[in-house]
Amino acid sequence: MARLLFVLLLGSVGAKAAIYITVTGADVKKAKLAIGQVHPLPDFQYPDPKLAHEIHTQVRSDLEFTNLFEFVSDASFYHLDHPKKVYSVSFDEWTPTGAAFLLKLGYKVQAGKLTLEGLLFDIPGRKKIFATRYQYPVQQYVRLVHTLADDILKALTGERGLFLSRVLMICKELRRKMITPKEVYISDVDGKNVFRLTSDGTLSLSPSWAPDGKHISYTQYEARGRKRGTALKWHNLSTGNRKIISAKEGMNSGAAWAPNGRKIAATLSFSGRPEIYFLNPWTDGPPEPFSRNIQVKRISGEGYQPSLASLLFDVEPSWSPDNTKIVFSSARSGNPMIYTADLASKVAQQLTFAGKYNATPAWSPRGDKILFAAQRIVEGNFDIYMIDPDGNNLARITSGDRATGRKVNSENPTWAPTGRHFAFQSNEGGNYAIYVTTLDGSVKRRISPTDKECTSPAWGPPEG
Amino acid sequence: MVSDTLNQRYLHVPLSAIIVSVALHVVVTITLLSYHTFGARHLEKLTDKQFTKEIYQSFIQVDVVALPDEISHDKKMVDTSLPTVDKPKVMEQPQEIETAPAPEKEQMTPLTEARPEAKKELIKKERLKAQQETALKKLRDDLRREKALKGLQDKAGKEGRKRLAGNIPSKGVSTVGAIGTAKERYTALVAQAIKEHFRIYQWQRNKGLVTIVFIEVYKTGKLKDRKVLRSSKDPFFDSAVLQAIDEARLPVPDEPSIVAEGITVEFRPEE
Repeated sequence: MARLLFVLLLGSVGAKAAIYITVTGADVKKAKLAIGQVHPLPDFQYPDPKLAHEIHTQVRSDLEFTNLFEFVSDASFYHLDHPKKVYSVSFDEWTPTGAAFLLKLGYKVQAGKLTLEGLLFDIPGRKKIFATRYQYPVQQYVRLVHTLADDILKALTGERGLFLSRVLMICKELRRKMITPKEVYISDVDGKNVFRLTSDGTLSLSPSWAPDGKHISYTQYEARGRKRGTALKWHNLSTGNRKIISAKEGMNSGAAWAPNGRKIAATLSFSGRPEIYFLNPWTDGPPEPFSRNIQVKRISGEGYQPSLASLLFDVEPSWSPDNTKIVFSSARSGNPMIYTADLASKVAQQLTFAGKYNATPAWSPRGDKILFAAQRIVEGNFDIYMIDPDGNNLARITSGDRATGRKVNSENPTWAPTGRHFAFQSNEGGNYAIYVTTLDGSVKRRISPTDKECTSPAWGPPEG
Repeated sequence: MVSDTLNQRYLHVPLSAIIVSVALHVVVTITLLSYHTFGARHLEKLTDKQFTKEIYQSFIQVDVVALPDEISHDKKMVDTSLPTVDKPKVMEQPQEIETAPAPEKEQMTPLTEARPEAKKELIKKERLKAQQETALKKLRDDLRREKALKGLQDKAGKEGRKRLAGNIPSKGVSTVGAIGTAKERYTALVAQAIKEHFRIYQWQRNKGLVTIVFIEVYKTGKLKDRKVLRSSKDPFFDSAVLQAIDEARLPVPDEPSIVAEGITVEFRPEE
């Protein structure tokens, strides 16, 4: 309002008034970054060039994965990157290299501990952005580099957690056995440090993260007397303690923790139809029905379609970051489609109307996009699509029908905490595996182990 | 007597039945042996379940299948807790850190001489490439400017007249008359000139950044001074905005009075 008044005021002064221009539609560029060699620190007597090279490669690999940087050729600053000048920068000399940012690195190893010093400079701004010293066991230098890369991203973009978050997945051994159990695994975002979290010899599915990053939940099949049923379990990552959140008859799956950590939305089918309920993991209250109470806005824009108990088929909820809405997939009107529902007004809106099967929606951490998997009628394979929460700007993100000449499925998208990357499962290599990629698909990496078939990724919140 | 009866019975068993019986016995024996030999791993895996029960039995009621005790030595395989991976220790800033802005202190000559020939060649090539790129960029910029100007004139020819109908004495050839006032034309050219150099980093999109800059120009159109009236609070975005202004080839105003009061420019990354 104040600006409007300001503009009006300017306009009213007459011909001699100052000119007011609004410039929009900026071109987007990558940041030119120079990464200096990893030099031994002054008090380090016995340098290890192999380790230095490995650290350099890892730093570059991490920053490359962000897809935000363009790297200045090492040859153009070879003469400036002197081992004895880890701490000093002559901005005038660095300007002709074209680098916008310069990362200088120094290291030493003492008693099995690696010390890495990272200094980031803004060359055109002629100032130091940060200088930090890190220490960690030398065998785990990768994690140390992840921390440095996270700090660089935080300093430049204000976002954190890309490298220090982890991905849950469900994996089974590829070797044929009489019974192949599916267990819950956890991995770093680059596929390193893969650990098995469960050894129950049963089928596990739909893992999800609590927003604190310390608890997870998943569903497992269990023997219950003579029958087998499903149980939704809560798992403390630091102690390994587990408890059952819900083990009602039928489905107890597809849990999604609210971003504020107070509730879990999950699909239960004890009523006879799969419905979305809210569960409170901290108290053992009864499940609170949700999807049977919503009414869907009619496509014509006039009036609402109430939920009919006999047609309910609501699964795979995902929360909006502000805890006020849920996106889910529902077959209540025929083929499974994507819907959003407002928790306060209990009004739902159908987002997708085409395709044979639309499933596994995931609301972005910024709240502006929703990813989901959809099967098209003609091609028959699943691809990842993106849509705005109001139903606009539907776009296909993966193209499995063209990738390898055969039909490839890409399913189960899950967002990185920064909202620039996502993970998904795909069978492009034959068996299902987990991949992480940027939204434009320019960087894609497989992170699941090659000796396992993995599905259902869940990208966790930033650590620490 | 009894044994005789038995003998009688055996005597009456047909040979084919005996063969079938023996074959069945052999098959069953082989199946059982191979299951115990090759299926052992599978059994070991199942024993995990028993240990898992011990871990969380205080929390939940678990109905698990009873499993053989003799393979319980594999308990150590199971670890439901997440291996501890601490965040690397982050220490304070290195004490010795200092920036050296004075270039004259840097003695780079000996290092340059000591460099291998191949590296020298490479650097030469890099520099040459950079020079060529700059020249190309300049050419492209000029071309774009011409195109933009032409576009502006074409547009003026179609739409400008309609809007200003009644104020123009004749259709004539003057683009000034066609586009509107001299001030409007100048404003459009300045906006175009700055926009051509308005480049931001990918992470600055969709964050609602706004920077407002006040520009003063000489009567010749050359930039005199610029200052940030309102910062976006992202120093790199503010720098990008100032760089766009510095690099823009601002047009010459038709009337010096147009620029007397200065120009206020509001920058937003999105359209």
